[in-house]
Amino acid sequence: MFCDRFFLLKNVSELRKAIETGAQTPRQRSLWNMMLSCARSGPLNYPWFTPFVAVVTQEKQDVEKAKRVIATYADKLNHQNYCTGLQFHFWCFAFPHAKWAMYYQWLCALGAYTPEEREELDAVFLNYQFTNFYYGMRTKPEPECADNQTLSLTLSNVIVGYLFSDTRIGKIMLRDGLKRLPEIIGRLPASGYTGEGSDYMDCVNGPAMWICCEALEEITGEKGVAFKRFEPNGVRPVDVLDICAREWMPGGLLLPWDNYGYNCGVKAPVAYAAKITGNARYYEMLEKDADWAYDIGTGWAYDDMVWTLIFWPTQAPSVWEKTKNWFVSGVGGALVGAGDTQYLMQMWDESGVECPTRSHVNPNAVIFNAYHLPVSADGSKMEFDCTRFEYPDTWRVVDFLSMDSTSRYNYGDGCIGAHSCVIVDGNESMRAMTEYPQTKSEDCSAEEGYLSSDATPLYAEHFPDAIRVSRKSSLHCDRFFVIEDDLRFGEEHLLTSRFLLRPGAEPCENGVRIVTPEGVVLSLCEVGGGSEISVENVKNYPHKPDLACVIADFNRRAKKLDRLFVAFMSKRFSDYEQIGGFRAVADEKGDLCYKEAAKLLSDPGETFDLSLPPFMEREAKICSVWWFGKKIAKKEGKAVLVLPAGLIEPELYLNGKKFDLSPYDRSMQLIRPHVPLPDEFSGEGQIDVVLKTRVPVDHYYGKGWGTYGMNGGVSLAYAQEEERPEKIEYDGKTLRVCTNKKEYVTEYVRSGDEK
Amino acid sequence: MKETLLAEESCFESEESLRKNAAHPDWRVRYAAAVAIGESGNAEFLPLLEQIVKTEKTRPLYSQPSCHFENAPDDTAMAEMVGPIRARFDKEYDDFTLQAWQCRGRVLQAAYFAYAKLGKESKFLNEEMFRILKEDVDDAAMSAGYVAFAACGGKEVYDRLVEIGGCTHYCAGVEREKTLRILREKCKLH
Repeated sequence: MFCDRFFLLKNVSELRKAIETGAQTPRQRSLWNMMLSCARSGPLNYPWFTPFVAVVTQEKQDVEKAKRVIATYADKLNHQNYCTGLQFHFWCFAFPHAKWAMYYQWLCALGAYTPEEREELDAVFLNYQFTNFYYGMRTKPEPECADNQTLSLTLSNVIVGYLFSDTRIGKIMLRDGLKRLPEIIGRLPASGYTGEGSDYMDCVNGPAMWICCEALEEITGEKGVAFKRFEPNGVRPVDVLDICAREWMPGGLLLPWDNYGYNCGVKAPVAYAAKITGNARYYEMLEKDADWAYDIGTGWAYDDMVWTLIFWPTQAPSVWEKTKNWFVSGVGGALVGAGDTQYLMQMWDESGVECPTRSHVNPNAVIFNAYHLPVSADGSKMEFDCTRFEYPDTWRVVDFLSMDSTSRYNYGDGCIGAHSCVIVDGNESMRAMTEYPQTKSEDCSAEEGYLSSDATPLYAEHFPDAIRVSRKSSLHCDRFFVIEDDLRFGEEHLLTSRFLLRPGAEPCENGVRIVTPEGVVLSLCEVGGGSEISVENVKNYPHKPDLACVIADFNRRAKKLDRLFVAFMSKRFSDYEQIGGFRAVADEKGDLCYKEAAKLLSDPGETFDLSLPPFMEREAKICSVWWFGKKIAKKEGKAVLVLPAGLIEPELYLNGKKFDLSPYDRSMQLIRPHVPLPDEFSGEGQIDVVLKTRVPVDHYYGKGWGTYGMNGGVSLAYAQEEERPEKIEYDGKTLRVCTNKKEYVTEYVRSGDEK
Repeated sequence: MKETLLAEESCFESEESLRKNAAHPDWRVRYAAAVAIGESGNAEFLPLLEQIVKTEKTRPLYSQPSCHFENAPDDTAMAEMVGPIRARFDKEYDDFTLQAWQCRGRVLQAAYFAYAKLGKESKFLNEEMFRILKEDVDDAAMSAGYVAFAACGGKEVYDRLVEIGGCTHYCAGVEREKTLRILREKCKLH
């Protein structure tokens, strides 16, 4: 193995200089401090940071810690052989193995090992790759398999094969990996979207794509790989990275576009895209929307922030886009209004055939987000008990989830009934049963602010008299959305426009109003009314963010129906005032009571802003239970205390009185709890705020589902009356939306009238 | 592992080493030997390949019970973990059995990919693969078997594949369709 350079790290001395001098942004400096603190305080708690820290500092203590991590990983491999995951889902293990082989190479390049140590470790890394992941890559049919699994396997063979290309086995793996990798990239759809949803796009394909680019450039000497069109589909890696970035909603959560629902955005692909394109959109995402506390797991690893730091662009942005609206042909698009406080995404990507566990059946489904907070519900029930979307014809028995038994599960939550779509005659388990183009046409304009797609083929498979089933979403007055469902059949059907929304339904004329736990309000009204509206509360679906949702159905029997909806979103709280300067007390035994903690918090000392656990912010002893306290000054009026997201088993005390946080039990994993303070706190004055929370003390707290912990800090906001529509009128040409605060007038031509 | 790697590497160095290592006690070396036979493309190694598959037939490849792990779950979450992790079975098993569970169909897969590259039909290898297809347990071995049948099979193989019917595994299912198509074209069947 070569040791004259660090694989994929082009200029370590420049990187070190930038990090040590903090020459770039404060974010870069704080990221580095976090990694250094974690790697030094708990190398086996935060192993994925240790090799990078060792390379940057090259201090003996950091190198020794990284060596200990590598030794622990090597020791794990023999035990891992009996794992159901390795034997049946080997691709998940291939990508991290390649990463550890690369990190091992970094340490070798640092001269960290004796020749004897290296001989044994070389054999361990190389042999494990050969017998598990060369085997794994060859299991995947060529060329048919071009997905996140095959990409991971093939990339791992390229990387490990290259690192050990001084061996015969290494040469074979590199040869076969290099032969296959370009075609796998090229067989991804030209849009860059694989149809596997946000989770697989952002957590596997995106993180694999930047490594593909960097590895191919280093190994082959070719330049500009990210912008090269790979055949047969002509996809460019930069398009894959862009889709990953497009999946971020305002606020940083990923679209709930697949089986796994909402998740935190993955940063390294965005940082890489920023570096190679200079596009200001990526810079803004990193600065404004990213969560910097924890990694959710990218390519089955926890090194997203390491690579984000490595790729942090050194040049100022050079490309600015005219609009934040976007669409990608064959995939979907989004409309973004009022800064980025109003957001609607409409999707028309192809769904999975027969068993849509990954690519859900969501033709023209819409997702709402307002004020950087999610409003819609989507995803799956995961391990929770929910029979609502279990249909008799969507059961499946598989034998790859356990070593010695079969598992039976229902994939109904991947079918059309669990999405914000048009449903015909109550056929909720509708899905494509054969392969065909599921979308007939699309008509979109980012500049003019509309997205339209005709999904008739998918409906026609089940309802042969379907003539047209299309949806058009448009942004008006930079303030609200109009959704038009143009539905035409040869016979009369029950036509349902279904919307899955976060819980909190309130009555509303001609529609439904949702007030999320944070106080964001969606008024979804059918223009002119006429439909029978039903509102159903569902428990245990989807698993994020609330473990509950509301199904709002607009039902009407008709052969032809051209429905218009107005979606108007507002909020019941003012802009945030960020509050820092909290004292912190580590509760090492976890046995402090409020009084004891409050007394300790009153002592002077270091303060924190609660955007990270203290030991991640500064080098300190790792501790899982923390108390934070501060006297917060507030103005006259009803206030909303906005706590950090990712709190675990929290306790909140206001002036010594414990406050109930149970309404946020579930949502606080991803969303900052917006806690309306009781009336007794309405006056001007000080509030003694004490917050207790548990924090993850390693990369693995989430047990494979990503690690979430305290992030986002504390803010104060004040209650305000939301803007809501009181009258909506449409005369076939002009749409008037009169709210309690303003009148909006816009021209609107129905899609049917255009033809 | 150092000695294992040396033996694996030597499979690619000389015919003598390859013949010797095809019967190596460590399955990893036999796996490398099978890959090396494929790399050689030399049909004279067919008996050696048969010997490798015969050895696999004697091993309890697919009888592993669920395992308990200290510090890790028995699923894909283990992929991202570094350790320390320990595997614990409900009782003691001998090394012969443990090694077979680690191996599963790896050697068989390598052998059948090699068989595909040799391009010369072996009744023994065919019969073994038909048996594996009927068992419908191992996606990796079955996929490689279909690739081999596409390369080495004829009408008789085609008829028996049709008789055996479809499989429940994704990769093997894709390879099966390809193989049937190739054999239909090769044998001018309709």
